[in-house]
Amino acid sequence: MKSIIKRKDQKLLLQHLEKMHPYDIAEEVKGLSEEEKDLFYSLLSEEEIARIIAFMEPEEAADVIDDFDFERQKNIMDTLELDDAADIIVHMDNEEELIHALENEEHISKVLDYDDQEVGAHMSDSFISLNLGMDIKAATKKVIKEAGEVSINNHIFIVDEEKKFKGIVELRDLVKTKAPAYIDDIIKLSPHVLSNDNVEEAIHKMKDYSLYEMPVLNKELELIGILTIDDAIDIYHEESVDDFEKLSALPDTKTKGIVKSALKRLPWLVLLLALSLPIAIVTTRFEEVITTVAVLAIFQPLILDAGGDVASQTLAVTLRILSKKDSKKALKNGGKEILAGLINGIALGLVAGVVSFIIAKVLKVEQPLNVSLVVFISLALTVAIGPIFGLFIPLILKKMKIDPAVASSPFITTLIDITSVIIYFGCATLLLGVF
Amino acid sequence: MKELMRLNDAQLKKELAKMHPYDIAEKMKDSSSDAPMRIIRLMSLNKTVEVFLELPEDVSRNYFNLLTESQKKSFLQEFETDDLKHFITSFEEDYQMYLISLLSKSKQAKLRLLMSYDEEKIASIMSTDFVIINQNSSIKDATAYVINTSKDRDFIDDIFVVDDDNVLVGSFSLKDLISARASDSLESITDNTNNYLKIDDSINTGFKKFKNYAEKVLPVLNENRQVIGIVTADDVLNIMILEHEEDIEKMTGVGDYDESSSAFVRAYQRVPWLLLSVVLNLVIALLLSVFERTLVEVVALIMFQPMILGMAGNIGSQSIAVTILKLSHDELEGKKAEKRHIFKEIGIGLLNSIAIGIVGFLLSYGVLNFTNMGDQSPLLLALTIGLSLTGGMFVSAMAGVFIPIILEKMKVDPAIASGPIISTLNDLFALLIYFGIATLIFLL
Repeated sequence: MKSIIKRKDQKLLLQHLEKMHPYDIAEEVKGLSEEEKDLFYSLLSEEEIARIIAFMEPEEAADVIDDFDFERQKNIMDTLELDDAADIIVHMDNEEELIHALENEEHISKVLDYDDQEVGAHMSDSFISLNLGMDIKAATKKVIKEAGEVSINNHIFIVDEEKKFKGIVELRDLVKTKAPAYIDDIIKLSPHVLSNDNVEEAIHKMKDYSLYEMPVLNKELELIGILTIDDAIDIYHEESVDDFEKLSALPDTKTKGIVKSALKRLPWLVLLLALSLPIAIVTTRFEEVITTVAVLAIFQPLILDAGGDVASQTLAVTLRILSKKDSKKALKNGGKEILAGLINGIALGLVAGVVSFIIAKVLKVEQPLNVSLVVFISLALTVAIGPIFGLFIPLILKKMKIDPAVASSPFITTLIDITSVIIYFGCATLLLGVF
Repeated sequence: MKELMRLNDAQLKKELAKMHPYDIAEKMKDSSSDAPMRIIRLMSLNKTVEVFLELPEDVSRNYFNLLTESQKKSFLQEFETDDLKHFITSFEEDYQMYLISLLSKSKQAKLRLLMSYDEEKIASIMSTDFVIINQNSSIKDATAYVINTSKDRDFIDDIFVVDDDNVLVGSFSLKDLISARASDSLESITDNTNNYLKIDDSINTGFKKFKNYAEKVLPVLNENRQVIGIVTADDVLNIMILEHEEDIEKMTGVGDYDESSSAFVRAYQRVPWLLLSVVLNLVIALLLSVFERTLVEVVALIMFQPMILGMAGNIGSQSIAVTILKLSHDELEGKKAEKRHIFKEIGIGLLNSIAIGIVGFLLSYGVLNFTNMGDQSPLLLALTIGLSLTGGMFVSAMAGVFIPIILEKMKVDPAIASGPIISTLNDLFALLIYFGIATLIFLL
């Protein structure tokens, strides 16, 4: 490609690009020098450029067109699909000015008004809609006329006179049905989402219904856009990386460079370190029992680990439900989690109690029975309390309008450590008779 | 459901034809008695098959078993091959053979082929119900073929164009076909941008291609570039979501989680993981008893024990998560990428362990001056804590990088690295370092 660009052979370049997928073109352009890039874009039409930059990261795409003159920027933006244009335009230097100049200014500023978590921010305006009552022939004609302007259409979306969404018609049914017939004869009910719905919930709905295109409606139930499966795959991919990062208090896995990445992860670690200081302070309250029965220290990791484990299990389950459904469902589910914790608490407590009795005997500790009783009771209590943390912390965060996923397992684990320490040494103080 | 049942047969039939299979399945799932059978009777065969795919396996098996043999035959014949594979493999092996024998010869061959692919390969989720057209056909022939000959289950939104040797030339969409004039050539509507999957592409490679190319369907080619199947984006999304949820389940040891399972089932599913953690911790307790004298002499150590363990665990889960994420996205393929990742994570682990060690030293010195146990000097205690933080965290960070990579090499799922065995091992190392340093400083 480099040699073609150098020769400024526009015809040959277009021929070369015609057989390539825009994603591959975008990847190849990355390897060009700045000078070659400029030359490359100068040889392409606005449509061609729009096709290619739609497959770049929005920041990169904005970089490309920032250098163009205003007219060219405007034309490219008008060619792009709505959601792509909205993604790119926020990264441009002359965002405001450009938005006002666009043909679909109104639409694009609407898309920009949505929060990134809402479906509206990701919807495309590239679809065909037909009215109820249309006969098949007229419908087919209209589809053929409009087909060139939209990129994807398995489905044609059907609305009534008031623009309210009524259902879908599959293109194949339209083609296969012989006239005389009406749209109403081949219309199918279709699930839909509202533009303010959570996008992850919408994607799960697409999965459940195996949809390639999910109709997006406004509050008046008018059809205003569609969520396409390729966007859904992209968004879900990012969300799943996010989940991993949050679950392990990792800020960002994409950063390059050792020092930079280390600095990004450090604040979380420092925060967690600071959070674990109160544990040390609380521990000093139990100095008496600890100095008398030093062996307590060796069972402490056991109690803390178990509490952290069950809490993060409930947390994972609760977060998953919250990402799809509402708090009520999570609360109902949480009841089961707490009961499960109680059952496991008693089971694990029994095992640990028996084994710790044997260990205490072997080590010739004083009052071995009471030491194992302390282990039993505090393990049972900690495991039973763990789910309560795992359930209520994300719920409270959600109530406070904070992303509940902030409560990653490291946080929950650190919080529950304090409770566990109090339970463990509190129990020990009571049972081992040191006052 | 009740409202639906009140309709007479003709009305219900009409209503069902309009409903989405998923919604029908949701309604059938929750109702017992004979209502579901009535629904099955009133749906077209093709719709019934779609509804069955949405039902939980045990429910769909129950209804399937109620059909007569000839009904079963026509029922199975109606499945898309990839769904058929999924459906048949949900039965016991003996019964699978019987079901396969009910199929037509050509369908049997297709199914056997599909079942022979490794679960890790993208070919294992492909469907063989697609339409190919010879490049020399006219628009008219193509239209007639697509409209009249293709079956309902065939994917016809995109149609693949091949040459005389069945080698892929390009594709066109149904929309292009109906917009074309009869006088146009097929070549003029064919898109030669050939994005395809190879027969031995891994699932992850396939996902990446879908993500990058934003296509709703990709053909699967064999070594001779002939189309042997297609993979559709809805299946990709479906499996992406399933795999992600499985990963999270594995990382937290939730087991095969189902929202509807009772507290007892949940307790039972999770107890192995927790029990393993408890038992391993008891083993640690036994090993640590060699430090009994240190613990008696330096009681203040217990104050910071949770902090040292917690921080080692935290930095460990960071590096495990990064490594598993990279492994599951195939980003560590090749010696070079692997080396770069390991080197980078060692660097990050070292820097942050030292940083936290210093901060930990300062903070614990502050706390110890304010409240202390025993009579050791706060400075020496804080030094012990700082050094142990650095040592314990660095070991744990290293384990977080190497263990998933080693597990992957041994063909074990690297996600188990976040399980209890590894985290308890990390605990052991962190405590050995902590008590070891304390023994050196205070007892020798």
